[in-house]
Amino acid sequence: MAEQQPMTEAAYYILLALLHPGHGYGMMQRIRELSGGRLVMGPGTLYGVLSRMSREGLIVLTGEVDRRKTYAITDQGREALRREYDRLRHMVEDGKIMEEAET
Amino acid sequence: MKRRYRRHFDDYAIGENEKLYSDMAARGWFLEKRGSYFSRFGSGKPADMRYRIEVSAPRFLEETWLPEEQVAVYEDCGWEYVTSCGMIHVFSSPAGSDAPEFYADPAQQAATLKVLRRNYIWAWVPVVLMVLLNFLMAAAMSGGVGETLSKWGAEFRIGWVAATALWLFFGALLVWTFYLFLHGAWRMGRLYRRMKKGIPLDHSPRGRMLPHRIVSGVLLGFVAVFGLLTLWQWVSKDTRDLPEVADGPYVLFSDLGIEGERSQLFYDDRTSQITVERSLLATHYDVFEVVGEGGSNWMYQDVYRLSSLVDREMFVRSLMENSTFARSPSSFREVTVEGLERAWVAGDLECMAVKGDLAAYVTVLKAGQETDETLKLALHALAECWANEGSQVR
Repeated sequence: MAEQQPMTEAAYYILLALLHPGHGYGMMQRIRELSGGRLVMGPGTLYGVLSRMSREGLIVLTGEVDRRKTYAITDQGREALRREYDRLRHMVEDGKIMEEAET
Repeated sequence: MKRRYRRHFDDYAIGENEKLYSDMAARGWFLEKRGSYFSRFGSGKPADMRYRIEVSAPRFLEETWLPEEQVAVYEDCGWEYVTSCGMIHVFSSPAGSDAPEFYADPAQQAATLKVLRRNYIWAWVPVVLMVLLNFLMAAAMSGGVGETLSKWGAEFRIGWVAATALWLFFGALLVWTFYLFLHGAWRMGRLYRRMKKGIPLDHSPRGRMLPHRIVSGVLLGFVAVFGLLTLWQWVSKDTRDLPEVADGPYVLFSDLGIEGERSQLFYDDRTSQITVERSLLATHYDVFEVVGEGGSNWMYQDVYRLSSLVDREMFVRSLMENSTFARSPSSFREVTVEGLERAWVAGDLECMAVKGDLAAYVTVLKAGQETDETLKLALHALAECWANEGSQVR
């Protein structure tokens, strides 16, 4: 299996938000909450990332109510998210050396 | 419901268009439809509205509309889809709503402008390719690039003299269109580079692009003036049956001493006619006469009374280049005819004459006399006619 490229911040948070299926506006609110207000995403960016991840099979369209489309993460998406999480965690652990050097 | 149309800014002026639609809404005119050049507004209660434009980025031969899913995401976020034209898609939202901007990062929005930018840069390619293809086909059929170039040059020069206003109209239209594309490409490139650097799109620009609008307006004015002149030339064109006695600087078979009843060609229902057309640089007499049973004798004449602005030598050469039967100007042999400044014959069917401001190209056939005798008769008749005509000899 090819090595996974680092995810963009937007893709990472969208996958996190879609651990619970959601629609556009709900996803944006959830991402803002998850990032403590640090990451504000517009619908243009959101759609761009959603369509790319949908093509890659990381998310799937699960339903539509009143033109409002609901997306959910796929098993492949969960795996990708887990790998990215592990990669980031390792990076943070590796970075602890910086704190030791400062003390 | 009252409706109103307004000329909107071109596609590259995204912020200016957004502001235009907001300003119109504040005055009680709400965008209903965006066309290629004009936007249609419907009346309503004035309201503070935000308008935002999304640019679609279709791949080659893909449709330009936004995917339904994308529109759904925008609507879910509080934006209402209004209208589309080409790659431009307009959404609106009340000014106080919490509908978020489409892109928080200008660099991401810049990516959506790539295709529009490319279109401005490459819009000329199909036109150039069409002209090139046309040229290559003409070259293949006529036997050479050089020959085709000189034929096209001749046609251009004759067209310039015979239909000056039309040529100016097309020229002005071309310059205006080229200017619009050039300006669009420059503006689009500048916007793209600024956004790539992280400078956000100005949704409410203060400038009204006055210098551009003045230049564009002046060029459009030229297009309109030359268009009207073309219309005037077309309307004032006079086509009528050929009179029994020549009433202009042209000749009839009777002037050549060839008598016969007016008839028509066996393969064509065209009768003996004259068309007089005045351009800005010449008066053109397009004369056709056919006499004898089965249209056995016929004569075409293109007589021009030229303005002093026309390079006569060049024009005559163009007429030779554009002749029906002779392959090139070198096929024309100069002959001396009293009363004419210069005269030429080519083969047994074509001749040309020049005197003062008059130039004539004649194709004539008299049945049973397929030698240059008829041509000489035609040239002598023209010399006599032009002597009486009182042309302004330079």
